[in-house]
Amino acid sequence: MTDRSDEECVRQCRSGDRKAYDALVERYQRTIYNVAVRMVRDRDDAADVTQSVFVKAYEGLEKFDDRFKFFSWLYRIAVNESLNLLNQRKRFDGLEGVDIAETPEEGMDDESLERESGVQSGLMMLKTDQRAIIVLKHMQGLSYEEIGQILDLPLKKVKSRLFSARQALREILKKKGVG
Amino acid sequence: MDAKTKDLLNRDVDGAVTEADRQRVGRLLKSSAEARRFHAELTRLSSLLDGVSEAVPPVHLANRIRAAVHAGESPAHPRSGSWREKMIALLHPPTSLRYGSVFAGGLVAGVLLFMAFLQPLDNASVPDGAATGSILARTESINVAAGGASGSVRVVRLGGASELSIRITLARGIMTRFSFDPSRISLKGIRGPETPSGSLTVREGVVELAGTGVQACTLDLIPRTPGASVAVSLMAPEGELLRKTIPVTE
Repeated sequence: MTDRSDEECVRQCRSGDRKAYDALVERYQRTIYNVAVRMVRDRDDAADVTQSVFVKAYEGLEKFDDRFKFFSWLYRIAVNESLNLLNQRKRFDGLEGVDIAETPEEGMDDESLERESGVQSGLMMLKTDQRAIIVLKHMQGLSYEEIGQILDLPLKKVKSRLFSARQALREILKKKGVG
Repeated sequence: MDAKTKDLLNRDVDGAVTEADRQRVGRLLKSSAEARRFHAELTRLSSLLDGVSEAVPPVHLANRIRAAVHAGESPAHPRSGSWREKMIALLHPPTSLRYGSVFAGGLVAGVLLFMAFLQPLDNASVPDGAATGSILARTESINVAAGGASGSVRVVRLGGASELSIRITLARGIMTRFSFDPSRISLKGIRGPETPSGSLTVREGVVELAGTGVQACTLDLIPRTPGASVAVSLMAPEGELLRKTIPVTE
């Protein structure tokens, strides 16, 4: 099942094979969860966002334009769902930008934890569109072109937004004494 | 330093330059201290960001997603017809079918829940519509999923008191009900719901959290007797889809 390409899974899913979608969940849940964690920080929220992304993608599979890559589409939903959650959070409990205790990955030493916590705090202080572009570029390793497709931005705008996001993050981290 | 130079140095750090650009960068770095400082800072930031470790998703996340994705499906939906017709049928089934499928889902959830109770709680394979969880020292956390709703319940025991919090994504028509024996547990306070779309109903020994989408609330409980527990249920219009009893005293 895991050998099937995304396109093949989508096609089979459209013809009623639900197992084909399960393969896509298996393949991308970790990636999407990581985007969500970096966007919203709280891990419970990130799990909710990840679930919501896959449910929405499943519900909208008919609308998926298969000239594009399936994972780009998932990324786009992930960014949108994260932004929705952040907007909700900002509206209702003012948590946006507040430090939430970092859950360390297993085996991480204190120094790495402190550095990552600092980076994540810095990310949370960026504007959400800047944060999204940093996450896609640096934590997901996507190209300018892929980011443009996900965020529906022209290449020039991708670069200018990325460069200004890095500039802003540099200033924030400098003030925090990180890196 | 002008914007074009900054753009060039940024692209260099991203490895997105042509050979001619690379030579230009080389000349710039030789001749300009400002460019060298800018380039070094960008490189440091870039490696800091690239070095952030990958977050490990919760063990049961994939199962939870699959349960949520397939919760709206019903075998009663015809397999013939166009994809569009199938999707419309799937997303907007007649009320009777929708309730029927929720009820059927409830039955399946009940059986699966029973099976889950027969297995260790940290079992890596979680069936759709089941409750799972893990027992930590003074904290118990349970994942619940049934009828298109899923989330987690956490109980923290704090020297004579207990804090029970739930964060759940509720499907339309599904609500969460907490029930407990008021002679054994006092409800000292409630925080939540966190969104205006959520609502809480409080009766003696019963608290109900309703609404669609992500909902959350926290109950502050004082157990009066040893062995006191709270039952957490996911309720559909036809009745209980899932029930999990959580001890609030050790």
